[in-house]
Amino acid sequence: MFIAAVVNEFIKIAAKPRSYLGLAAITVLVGVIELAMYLDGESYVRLVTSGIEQSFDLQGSLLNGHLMAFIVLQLLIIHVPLLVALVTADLISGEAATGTLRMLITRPLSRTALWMAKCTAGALYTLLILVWLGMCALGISMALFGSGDLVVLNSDGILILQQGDILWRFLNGFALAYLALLTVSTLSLTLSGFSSNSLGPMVVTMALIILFTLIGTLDVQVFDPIRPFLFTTHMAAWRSFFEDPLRTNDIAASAVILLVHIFVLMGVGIWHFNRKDITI
Amino acid sequence: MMPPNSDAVIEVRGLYKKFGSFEALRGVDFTVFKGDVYGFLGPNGAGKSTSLRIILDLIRADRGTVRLFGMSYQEQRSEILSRVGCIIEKPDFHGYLSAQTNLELLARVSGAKGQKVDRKRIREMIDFVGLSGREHDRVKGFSHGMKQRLGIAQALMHDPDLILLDEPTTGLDPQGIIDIRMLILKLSREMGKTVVLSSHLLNEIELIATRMLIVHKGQSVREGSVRELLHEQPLHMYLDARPLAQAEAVLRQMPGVELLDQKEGRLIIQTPRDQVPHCSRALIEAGVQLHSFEPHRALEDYFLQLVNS
Repeated sequence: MFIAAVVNEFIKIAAKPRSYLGLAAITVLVGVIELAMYLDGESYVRLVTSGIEQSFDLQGSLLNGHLMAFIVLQLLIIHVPLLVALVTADLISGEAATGTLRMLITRPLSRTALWMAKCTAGALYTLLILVWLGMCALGISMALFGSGDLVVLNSDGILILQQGDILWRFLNGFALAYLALLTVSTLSLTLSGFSSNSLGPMVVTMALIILFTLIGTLDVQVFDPIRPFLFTTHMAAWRSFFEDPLRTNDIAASAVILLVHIFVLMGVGIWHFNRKDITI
Repeated sequence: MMPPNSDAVIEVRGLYKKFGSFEALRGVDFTVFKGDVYGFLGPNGAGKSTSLRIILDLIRADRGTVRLFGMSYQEQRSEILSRVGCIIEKPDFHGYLSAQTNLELLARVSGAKGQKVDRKRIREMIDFVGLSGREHDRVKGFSHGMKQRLGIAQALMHDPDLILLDEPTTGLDPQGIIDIRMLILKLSREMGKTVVLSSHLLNEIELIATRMLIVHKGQSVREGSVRELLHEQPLHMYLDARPLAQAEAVLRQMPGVELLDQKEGRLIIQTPRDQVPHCSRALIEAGVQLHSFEPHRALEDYFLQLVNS
């Protein structure tokens, strides 16, 4: 029954035009970035590396598929939560608004199973978005710019990663980015249970991301105790895989904090959904 | 804990529900037996929909108990809901999907232990409600009547024992109302289903229901068979006769008959039911031309009397 419910939820997601907005947006955005870099990428790289050229003698072109994929991810990963929330925030509230939730809840499926089915479908959609982003970022970049070593500019300095040492970092980075996006997906689904229109949960999700990001960025002491525990602090943790040596403790801490967020949000969402009166 | 009644399909005791400071239900009790067409009657806001939603586990009661087929939701929710079909208020579907896909979505989660989509059954239901040829159209293009038909298809698709219909004729044209009425009778008489029908339309209940409950201001006011309830009170009859004065004089002689009013050339009388044939005979024997002698909407009077008291 649970699998049948997940299949149902994914059929509904697949049938909604808004589900393709995210995929289309990623395709267009990656395309624009790739085109811009293809036409004028060298000057962009020169601008970025101008600060270190006095200390290092950089030979050849740094611009390759790996660097492009890194740049694309860095630029887009902060926008993907909006694309995810666009769909996941609608999963319960959209059905409440149209009245179909009423019919669904009168079927012999527990509310917990129904919520979990929606959560699973949302998680699959989030994975699809991330895989698409990865395919666009890595696939198009490699096709246009070819392979090569990756030069990463960190706050600590410059890191050159050998060509054969990169793919696993991307895969692990994607896995951690997926946890961050799953947190956003679960947050918007949980908020969706409190609302009967899909715009509200989506706006609140984005507002919370902006608020938490602001708290994380503001150098004010009063926020110091909570900053490490905000999920937004760990949304860019995927970048940690492009450091050497790896700060495995930090990566593990980020993963744990994101997982705790996911499970707490799931608990709240299921608890509320089980007590929710379906009055519309 | 109430003792389960083996013939009872629905047993509701002491339902109480508050929304904020508003007491939607203040003690609703009723029992629906197997094979009943049970009318749930009350004015708008009486608590009919809230009661039905609690019966369907859409809303949780603050107090009171609900048992369906002798089971409670706490113990056997899936078992119960696999035997129930319903339309609450208006049937809503995913407008961006076809009628068939909407039914398939619901069919996939309608069995107690999950089931494969029975496309043959879906086809039968589409034919049954007269939507053949439109099953591949998106529901957003459907009229209210067509959605109502599709709603009936989804309610019957899994062959439930109990069917709950909340205001099923709202917004339908006269033919649609008759179709729904005939369908309910067919479900009950030919297919042996138990049907619970909520309505604020008295004649709807009077025409279809075998038993009924009147709810008002969140409370059960009266429960029983429609026949019983109608026989509990004296009958009001409208008499159109010529000459009216002679008819009035004849009726004044009849024991138990009371002249209530005279409106638009007709007499309104109150009489015990068993006196009606005697009245007719006396009028004819006295040479009065009897144009019509018909009962007033008895349930309407009864309902207003209960509600107003």
